[in-house]
Amino acid sequence: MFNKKIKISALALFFVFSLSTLSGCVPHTELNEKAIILAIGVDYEDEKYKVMFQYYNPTGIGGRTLVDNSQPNVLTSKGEGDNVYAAMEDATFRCGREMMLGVTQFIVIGKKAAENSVEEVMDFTKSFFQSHPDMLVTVAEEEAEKALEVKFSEGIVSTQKLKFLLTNAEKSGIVALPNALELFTALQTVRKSSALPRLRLLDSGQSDASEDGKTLEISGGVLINEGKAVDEVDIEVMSGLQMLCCKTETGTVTVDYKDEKISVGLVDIKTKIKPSFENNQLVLTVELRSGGRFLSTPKGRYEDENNELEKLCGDAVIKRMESAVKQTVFKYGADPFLLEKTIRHYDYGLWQKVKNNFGEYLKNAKFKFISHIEIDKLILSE
Amino acid sequence: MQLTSIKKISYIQLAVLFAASRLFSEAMNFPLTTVQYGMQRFTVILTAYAILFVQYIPLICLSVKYPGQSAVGIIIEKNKGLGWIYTVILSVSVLIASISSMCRMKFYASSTIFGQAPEYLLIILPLIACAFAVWKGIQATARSGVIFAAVFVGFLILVSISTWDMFNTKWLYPNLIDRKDAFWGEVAEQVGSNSEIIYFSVLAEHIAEKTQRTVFWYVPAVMLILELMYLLEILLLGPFVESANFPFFTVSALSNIVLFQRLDGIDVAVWTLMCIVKITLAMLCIRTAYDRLIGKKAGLIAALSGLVITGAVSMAFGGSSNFVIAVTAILTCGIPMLTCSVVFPLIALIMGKKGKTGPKTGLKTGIKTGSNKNNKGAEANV
Repeated sequence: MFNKKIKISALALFFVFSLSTLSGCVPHTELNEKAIILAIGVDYEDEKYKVMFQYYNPTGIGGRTLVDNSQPNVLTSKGEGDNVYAAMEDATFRCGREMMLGVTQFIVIGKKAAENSVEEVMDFTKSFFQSHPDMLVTVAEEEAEKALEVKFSEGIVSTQKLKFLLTNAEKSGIVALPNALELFTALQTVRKSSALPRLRLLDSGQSDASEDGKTLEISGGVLINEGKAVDEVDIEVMSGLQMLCCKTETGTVTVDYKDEKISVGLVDIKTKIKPSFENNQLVLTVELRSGGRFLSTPKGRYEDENNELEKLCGDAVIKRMESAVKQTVFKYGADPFLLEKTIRHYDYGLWQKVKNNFGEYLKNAKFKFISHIEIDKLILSE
Repeated sequence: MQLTSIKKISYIQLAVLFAASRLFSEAMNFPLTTVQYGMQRFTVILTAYAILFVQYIPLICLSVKYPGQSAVGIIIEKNKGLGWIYTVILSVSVLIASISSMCRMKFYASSTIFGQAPEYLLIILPLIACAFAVWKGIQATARSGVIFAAVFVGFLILVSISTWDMFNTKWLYPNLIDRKDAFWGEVAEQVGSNSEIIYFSVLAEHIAEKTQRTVFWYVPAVMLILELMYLLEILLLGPFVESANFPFFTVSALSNIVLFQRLDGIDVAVWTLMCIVKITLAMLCIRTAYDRLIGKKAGLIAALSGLVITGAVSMAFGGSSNFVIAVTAILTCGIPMLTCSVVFPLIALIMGKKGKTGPKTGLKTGIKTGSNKNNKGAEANV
């Protein structure tokens, strides 16, 4: 009897709790009520953060093709607040949907917001555990909002086009794909330094790539030091930084040789930095090894003259790295290629010695560059 | 009413159950204590588990001397008054452990992937599963616990394989103690968080034979897994491990295997299920202890009451991180652990010497051995 009662009670309990797990009895959100955010632009003005996000528009699909061109496939929403989190909430409130950052691919930080604090901007993602640590981060030359408003005619959504831009730049050795995790990690180091790609909005009215004649290009990078943007750097500096970071495996150099411009593709680039301490000065020996392939066919046959060409290529690469070091390390005491990690890894005692005044040690550091480039001879044989 | 009996399990099963319980807590590194970036963590884990092994010695001696019995069983048998004191202290300790675990799980699950789920459901549903597990006994819990632990280790391997190309060995550096002042504090916290030792002082009596071997397997295995988990975190996150609220969740969010773009969702589901194992073990301790004191039915009622208290307290105060910090601090201070698993087992050893103890004496341990027709093989009907 008692056993039966228990069974009935257990069944009743099961049904009651089953009901509570059914969607009708539990607060829930349907997919079309969510703002599936693809890209976020963050600006800073009058001590307020302004956020614009692009979110997926479900009505933009369902036509004969995957994307119905008559409908915009992304919508935007704007908001502002004292911090990025508040601005995001405001933008969510305005669009009337619940935000979802699980597939966010891109964060564009406006110039002023980056100058104010990159750390503050990125902090909001820590509250959204669903956000992917792989999302890419760039800095807009002006306002992030304008960069996200460009309506590209290729690609399903403009974030894809932006991703292609960066992927191509990475293949050319100009920038490494700057993901949020790497930025977070860099912001945890002593100098809080990084270099992010810079997006420039071109308004020539002649571009076929977008509906409004506007387009975007990567015009170089922005140096982040002590958690905020301090300077703009050009493509040569960015390329040099990528080599120093050991992030890029490919690149291109063009050298003058016998009245001819010869382009050599660098492959399998490997950079090693070894720290030492001499005469109260931090000394960093940078050794770059790479293979090389001719990208333009030389007029003459330089089979026996590869050594000279290899040296010229090496000098060109060293020049790039020197330029990167001058613009970032010597000028600001910044550490965009994470020397902190290298010093600690190779010589912990040295790190203990320099860590309290690391910025000053970097400003007065000495860099020794060595390059070994081996151009593939097979290309030249007839 | 025919109560489900708590049957015997093997020492390996108990070791795996403890490992599942421990790994749940470690994976859900609740942002109450910050994990510091540094090689010191490796030394802390190693030292903490060496100390933990030493703490297990009284229980190991007890298991060797009185096989098939537990500290709580011996004390109750010898001195009921002292048995009551021990049982009450033990109940409070395991209740604190289960409340802390439940609050952690609720916070973790609602912060990560179950953001929309009503919080009461995140508490009630696991507790119903726990109640069923307590009803079914340790054997059923052991079977599910082994599956969860295997899935956990499987996913750990999958995450490692899928993220290996992102490993950066330069985040490692050759200094195993770099914050001497904080070292012993970190060790104490790591040792103090091991509530499994309290469980062992009770659940040892459910082991069929060679009880002491549970410790020989559990301690090194968990130490090794924790070292591997931290190595993975360091290689992928570097100094970001300090500011990531849930470092291991971030690591699993980075993983990208063929079928799943990210493993964090599945991981959270598995870890949530492991919470059920931890709470069930706590309640089985209560069931076993009260069973010895006041009988079978009372034991089950006490365990179910424990679950109700856990649910009620978690719902009422679980939203306050200050409450969870305070509750966890009681555990990590080490007093409950030392009292329940060192002081009382030592008393049990002394008391055991004064008179014969164990199944052969016919004392009320509830353990029936031999080839009794009604009890085939060894079985503890508690």
